[in-house]
Amino acid sequence: MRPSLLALLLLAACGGERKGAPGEGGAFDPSSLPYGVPAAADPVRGGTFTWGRPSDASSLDPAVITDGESVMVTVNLFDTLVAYEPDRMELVPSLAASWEASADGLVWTFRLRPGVLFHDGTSCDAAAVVFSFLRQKDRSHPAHVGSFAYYEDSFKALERVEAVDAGTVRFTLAHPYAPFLGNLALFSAAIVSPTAWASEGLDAQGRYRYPFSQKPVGTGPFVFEEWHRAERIVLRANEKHFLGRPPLDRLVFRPLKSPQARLQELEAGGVQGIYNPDLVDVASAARDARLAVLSRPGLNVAYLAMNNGKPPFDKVAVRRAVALAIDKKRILKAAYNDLARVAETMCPEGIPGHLALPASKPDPARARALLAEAGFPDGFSTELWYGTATRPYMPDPEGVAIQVQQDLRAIGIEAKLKKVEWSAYIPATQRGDHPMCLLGWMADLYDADNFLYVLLDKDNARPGSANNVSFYVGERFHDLVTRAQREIDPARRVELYHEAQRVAQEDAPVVPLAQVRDFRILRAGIRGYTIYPVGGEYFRSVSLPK
Amino acid sequence: MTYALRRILVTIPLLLAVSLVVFALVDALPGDPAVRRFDLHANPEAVKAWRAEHGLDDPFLVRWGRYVGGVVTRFDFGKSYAHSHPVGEDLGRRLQATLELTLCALLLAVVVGLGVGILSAAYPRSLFDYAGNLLALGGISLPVFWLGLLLWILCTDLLGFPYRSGRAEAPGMATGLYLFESLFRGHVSLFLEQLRRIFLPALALSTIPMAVITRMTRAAMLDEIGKDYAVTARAKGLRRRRVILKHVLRNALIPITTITGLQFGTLLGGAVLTETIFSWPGLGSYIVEEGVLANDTPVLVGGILLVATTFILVNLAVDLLYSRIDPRMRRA
Repeated sequence: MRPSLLALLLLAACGGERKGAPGEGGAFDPSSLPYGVPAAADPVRGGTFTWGRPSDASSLDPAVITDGESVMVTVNLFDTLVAYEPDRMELVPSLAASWEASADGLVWTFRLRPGVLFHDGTSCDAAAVVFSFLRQKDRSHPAHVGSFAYYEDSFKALERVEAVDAGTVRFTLAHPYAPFLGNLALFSAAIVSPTAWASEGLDAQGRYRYPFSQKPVGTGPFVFEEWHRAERIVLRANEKHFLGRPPLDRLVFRPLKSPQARLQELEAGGVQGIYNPDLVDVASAARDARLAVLSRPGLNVAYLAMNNGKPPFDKVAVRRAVALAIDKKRILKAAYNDLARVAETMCPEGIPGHLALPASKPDPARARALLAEAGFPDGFSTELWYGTATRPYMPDPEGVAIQVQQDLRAIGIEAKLKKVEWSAYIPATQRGDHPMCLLGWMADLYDADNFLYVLLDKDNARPGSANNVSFYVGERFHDLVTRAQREIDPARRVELYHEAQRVAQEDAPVVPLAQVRDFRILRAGIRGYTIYPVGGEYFRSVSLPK
Repeated sequence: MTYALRRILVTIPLLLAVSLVVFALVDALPGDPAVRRFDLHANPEAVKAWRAEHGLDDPFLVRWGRYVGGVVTRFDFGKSYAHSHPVGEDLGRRLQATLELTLCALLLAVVVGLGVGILSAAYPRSLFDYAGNLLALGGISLPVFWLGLLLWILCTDLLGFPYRSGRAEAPGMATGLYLFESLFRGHVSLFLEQLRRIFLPALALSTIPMAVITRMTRAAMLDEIGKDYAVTARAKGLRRRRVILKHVLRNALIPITTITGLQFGTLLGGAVLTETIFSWPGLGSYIVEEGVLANDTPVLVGGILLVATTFILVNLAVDLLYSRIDPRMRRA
């Protein structure tokens, strides 16, 4: 019997907390793991690849979904105009063969790849591209069914989209918006089949009847076959995909709730790859010759927010003292199984614009001096709030809260822990009820704007709907990130974001804590899979072992 | 007949009461489903619009009335908050999966439980009796989440049993009872595939009812064996085996049937842990994973109502079955 299973048994028996030792038998360094297995030159053709993941998809309409479980299915069913190349995360042509932008960055023209067909056999032309965007933009569009959260977030600047001719599409923006081209690679910007949508006519409200979210039709490398809710989603190879037929015959997504069940099933060969293994199992899986463990720094950040709108955290000296008190490395040991990395800025490593700040060292003496300087020589009492739900960026919120509480106590701050039910926690933090709270963020978009503007800008600090739950109002910071939004030159943008991160470190509205790694485990011998840092799981190049 | 009719009529107000209680309990749970839906992307306008769209701002009794009305008139259990899929459809499929698992577990429990119980009663205080007692004690006291994992590891790692979790792919089956239907239709490969998937969860699930049935059978049999009619039958020169199987067992079956029926009801709702461990897509995992954990009210209410209904119906069936087994009840 393997040690991991024995440990699991004992733990299941006492129902206790899992505090695994990932490094048993020598230190285990997850950063030494590869983040992908290259495609074979002569891949094995055919076969079924089954992917085990925690839950089922909620919908297969790419423009409506917001959950990762749905996204990892739809990215295999649909294509976008441009796509990210997975290694260097550079934008490459996909449905669009080429594109150009006007000098002012307002007009973007895309030449479509000719001859691309939807799974229903119809042509993917400029009209289909216009349809796919208009249905999200125009509330009276017959295919505007559901809510379009990602469109609202990422295409606000889009003023007009029109077909110049059958093979050319033109986008006009209301103002220059640097993330625009990258956003076109988002799963929600997928091109859908207008013919499929219209195939069953209109209902009484003037909306299309066709259940697109249950029977999606795109151009992607796989074709939708069937969906047995909570059991499996089955896709088959698209023989006519513009990049060639994928090596696999069938791609199956299976929900397996518990990480133990996913790993067991992988070991038994019932699934060929799994998503989000339990951190406790990663080290032992890495030693198992039947398996291949992959890892890549996830685009996420966990942080401690101080409510800058409320005393005593309105004083920058107090916030800096808190930042100096926290021992991040100890938090990683206690609450992340030591498999995450310390975060020094709110913009995670891997995103263009991330600034590699020097590692912070806890300095309680200096922190106490700062507190005295701010008028709190004896410290003060406050509350530290945390939510009940675990998230990938915070697998053990209580563990983090306890560590922070201890560090603060060492400099004289007595933080009472307050645990709040998750669905009450979100609105409470958005209103700013908390003095201090623990939260995190996962990248929606591959852009620094998605972290720095969303989480720290004053535009997002309106009580009631704030994503900036530190309620930090930094004019200089605001100026930098809003200029970066409109800056088309990538190098200049990076400079602006670097400067913004220095300002944020100075003002210390939050304490960035951790950046969690992503893990996947495959059966050994599987080829052609890479962890994408953001936006889904791609199986176009995957092939089974020889 | 009138007895059956009366019993059926009584279930209607009972189900209404159950639905009211479930609805009220779920309503009292903390947390806003609208916020759950949007998570960190929740903003007050979106939450407000979503609440309005789902009629969550109406008074409690209005919402309950609308729900019951939908269920009664259109058999409509509403749509899931998380994925907008009709709850009724999901319930139907999940119920069949649970039914299949439960029937297998019960079959195991009855065959083994009756057998061990009868033999224990026939040879009381023998080594076999003690072994049976020990097994029953183990079956009832080992928690299923532990036993399930233990069985899984034991069978796959040590014994090499080719277990696979979840259900088989079964295109072309008319019902959700793949194991029984494939056997009936003679689809051997599907039958074997489904058998290797259902065996472990059914075994894990069967331990508690197996223990209960064993103990009940033993007690009821011992009770009857000592009675005058049994002694008389033996005195008349009937073989011991014939007395036990033909006369004693028949009378002992009444309490055994009751307990088996109740166990069936419990299994239907109680397969939650087993279903979760073995990724069996049944009713229990539906209620817990998609209902409770996702804060999905329609799923939760629909699921609990269905379990309650089946429990009530199973009890009704057991009551009606008595009169078949024991003619005295028919006259009374």
